[in-house]
Amino acid sequence: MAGRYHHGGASDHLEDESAGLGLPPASPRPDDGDLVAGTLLVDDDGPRLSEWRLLAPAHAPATATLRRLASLRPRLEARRDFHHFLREHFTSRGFLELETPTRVLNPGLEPQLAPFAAGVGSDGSTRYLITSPELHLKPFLSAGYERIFELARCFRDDELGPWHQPEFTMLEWYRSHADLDALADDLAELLPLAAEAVGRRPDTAVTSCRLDRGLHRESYHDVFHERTGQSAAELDFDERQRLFVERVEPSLGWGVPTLLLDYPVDEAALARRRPGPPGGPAEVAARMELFLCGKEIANAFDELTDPDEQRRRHEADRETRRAAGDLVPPLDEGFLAALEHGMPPSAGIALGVDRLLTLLLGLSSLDELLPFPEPAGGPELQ
Amino acid sequence: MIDTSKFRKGLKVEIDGQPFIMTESQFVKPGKGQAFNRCKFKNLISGATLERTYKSGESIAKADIVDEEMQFLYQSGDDYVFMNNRTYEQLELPSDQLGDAKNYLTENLEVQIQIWNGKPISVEPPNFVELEITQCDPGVRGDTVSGATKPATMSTGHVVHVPLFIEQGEWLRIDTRTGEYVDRVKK
Repeated sequence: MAGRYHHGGASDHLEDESAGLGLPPASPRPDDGDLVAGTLLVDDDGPRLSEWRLLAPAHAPATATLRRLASLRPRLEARRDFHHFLREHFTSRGFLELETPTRVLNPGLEPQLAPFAAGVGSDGSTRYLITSPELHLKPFLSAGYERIFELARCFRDDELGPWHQPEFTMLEWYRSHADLDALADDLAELLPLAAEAVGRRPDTAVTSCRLDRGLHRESYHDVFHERTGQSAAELDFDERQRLFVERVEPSLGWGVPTLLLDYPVDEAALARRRPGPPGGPAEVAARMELFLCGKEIANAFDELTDPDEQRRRHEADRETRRAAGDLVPPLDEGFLAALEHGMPPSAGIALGVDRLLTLLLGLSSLDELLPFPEPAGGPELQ
Repeated sequence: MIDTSKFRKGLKVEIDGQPFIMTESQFVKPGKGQAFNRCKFKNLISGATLERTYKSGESIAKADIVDEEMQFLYQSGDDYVFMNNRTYEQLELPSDQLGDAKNYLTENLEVQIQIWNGKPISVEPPNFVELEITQCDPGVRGDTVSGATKPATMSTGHVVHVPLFIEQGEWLRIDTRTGEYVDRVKK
């Protein structure tokens, strides 16, 4: 057996991966923390090392990071189980797992996203790290794939907080010949199973939010009015978003998860538009988000398939970026060509895997889950 | 001015002409939208709380606040007199400006006084102080029921709950953050 030798007064012991088997000291004694290998001898005097040799001396004490890594094992095991469950869940339902590029020509153009530049491609133009795998997944729909998914590592600069990391894991899945209702059904089925996959009971998995009672549906327009007393349609983009993060978002997804539907059209991104519900705005975005405990967990689109409309939106996003002095990646002609060839009516959803797991494990921020989180902010001021 | 990228817990800022300390700042960003910092503040004078949300890039004025080390000298009527350890200047504060701090003030106690725009706004005693019990019922011998307590009045008038074995005239260490008894000290 092999492990780290710890001095502990009367209870020196060799600690291996199966954890903390107590052993009397062999002579001469290794230094505290040394990695040693030895032969385990069990006789009437109990288990001990019959002989040992040094594998690696501990020249320096364990750093805070190393101690943290050692203590993180149960969470990392939950993470492994969770990723394994997600793959298994979608594969067994006929979804094909795909891997698309991480370094791309067009990382997504939405003006609020800040992509990381990642060198220059063979054609001499800048490459970026993806903010989502969306633009490389949708062409598969045009190519005839009806159910696909990807667990992708995504990158977004300027996003750092308890529930934001600049590097994170996103699950996207797409269904062609399907709409948002099909994705809502997917979510209702997925959530309680996800809880069980990491050893949580779905009825108590997440503080104050039961996952086994279906999903509560709200329209953006109604819930915005109810929480703020104002009409979302009459506010400009920034003011509407300020009120949304201040009063609306923290109130969603308690008791049962909330699906928020029918977003304002200027927050459509890559969703199609559709006539609004009775009593609401004339036109809304066919977009839906999932909230748990006041946190946004997933975002779904009834996908925009009209190539002309998509090109116009991308051009408008590029114009906004140019005006703001941001990076302006080129149009993704490969993606647009896929729409021009004819993309079937489809629905797609992106789910924040790290966020959902953090909530399922009852943790209060992403950095309690991740082995190497980007530290949020500087030290607290006194 | 301090912009959102520098928002931290503990930051002292001025909002609507009042000094505040930031008690919470959370980065939030709707899926398809603008980033914000959802912040909570505590008014450094009144203690009232305030919630505000700032768009990324917006800023708040830094409050001009300095902490001065001072020594408590004596009480004169309703006023408490302190001396600045650096300048030796004296400062008088009425009792209503002292808050809980007046429960712990004994002669020569070193405190921190927060000065905002030249005006004292709060008095911070050390985390632990030692005070004498001036009034307390006699202990009951042999009563060892764990957790049983009785009130004890300290020389400053502050009342704490103490275990039954503690007697009048003894000195106690008090945690000024909770106001509670910590242990006995030998004098």
